[in-house]
Amino acid sequence: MLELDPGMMVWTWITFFIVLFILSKIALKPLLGVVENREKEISDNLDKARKEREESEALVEKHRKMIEEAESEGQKILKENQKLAENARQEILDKANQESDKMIEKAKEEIVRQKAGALAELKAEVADLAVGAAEKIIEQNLDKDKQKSIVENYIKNMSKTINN
Amino acid sequence: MVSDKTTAVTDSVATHAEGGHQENIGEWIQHHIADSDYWHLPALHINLPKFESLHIFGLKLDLSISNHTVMLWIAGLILILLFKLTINYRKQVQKGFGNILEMLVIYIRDEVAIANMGEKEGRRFTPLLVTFFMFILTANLMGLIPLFTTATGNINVTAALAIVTLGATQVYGIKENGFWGYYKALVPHGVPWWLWPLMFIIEIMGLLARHVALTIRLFANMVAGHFVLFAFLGLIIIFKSYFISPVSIGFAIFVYFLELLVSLIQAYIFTLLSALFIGMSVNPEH
Repeated sequence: MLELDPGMMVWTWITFFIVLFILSKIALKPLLGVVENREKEISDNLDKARKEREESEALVEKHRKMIEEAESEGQKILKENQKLAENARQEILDKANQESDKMIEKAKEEIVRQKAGALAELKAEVADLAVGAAEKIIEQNLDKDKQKSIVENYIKNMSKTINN
Repeated sequence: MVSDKTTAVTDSVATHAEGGHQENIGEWIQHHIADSDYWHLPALHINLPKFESLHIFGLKLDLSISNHTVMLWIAGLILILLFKLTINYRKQVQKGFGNILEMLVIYIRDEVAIANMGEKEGRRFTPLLVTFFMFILTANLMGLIPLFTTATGNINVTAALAIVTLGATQVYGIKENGFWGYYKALVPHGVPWWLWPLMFIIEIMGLLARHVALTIRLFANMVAGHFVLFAFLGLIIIFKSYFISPVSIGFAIFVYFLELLVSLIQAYIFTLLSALFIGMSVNPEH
């Protein structure tokens, strides 16, 4: 069982090396090549996927920021517009108030003016009426100029009382 | 009836035994494990060719084709056919048995070769180690199939395989580190100069002992399993009784399954240690 048999050893070497040669030529080299290619492809794909995920994450972040910015922009514009509208309203209101104040003032002036005119007309009318009436009532020959001066004096005094 | 059968069995044992004079279980087992110059198949007895012995440098070299040689050829043929037929080399992903082979190859590349030799050397020696593993495994398993014999149960076969490892350690060690560099690196660092001659001899002996151990380990494991298997079956003949057969056959089947495991483990260990030795000589410690 333990005897040395160099022939067996030689046959073992021959067989082993032929098997090693054929196997590595037809099977192991191609198989290892295929496996290495596959491993490379897998790791490449993983790297690519990681890169693409990072890119997409950055994009999402960017979009989120953009949306936030747009929102705040919108808010700002809205506030500005509100302020503008408020200002415009206030302005219009003020203007209208001023306008109405002015109109009231004008109307008052007009009234005063009309009143003065009416008073003047009334004075003239009253003077003529008074003169006519006095002529009819008194029927005496009086110097016309003298009479007029008397009446005017009288009216002057009267107008003071009316004004008050 | 019972005694008839037992005598028939013992007769066959007796004829197989050397000299044929007495039934001897030990000789029967030894005969079963030993190499022979024929291959006995059912209804076919093949006498293998014998050649004249060559005499080279006083060494008798008998290149007759023996039974174990044929077993090795069959193992190699099975391996080549398996790799040729079950793997589709144009596809990236294998199916079925090809996938198992690919898994084994990748395992040996990553966990045996690269783990023990480093990235570059590991890839370089992967074909050698895969062939070691598959070849030894096939030869081991063939020994468990009836009609085949165990080529790895022959110490000359295991010695030849271990010498392949030894040759690889020397050739690639010298190739990588230079003749002097390699043998200088055998002696560990920090040894005083006057211990160098002694340490060198010890290291060379250790180198040889490692490979002798590699030889004996595979050989002894394969032989021991067969011994135990046949010893259990031989109990039937020793006791000349049928009643022992359930026990014998039960234990024999148990040992058979154990042998399946041992075949795998020994093929793996041989490959792993080869990788370790070659890795040690290619990348010596500094």
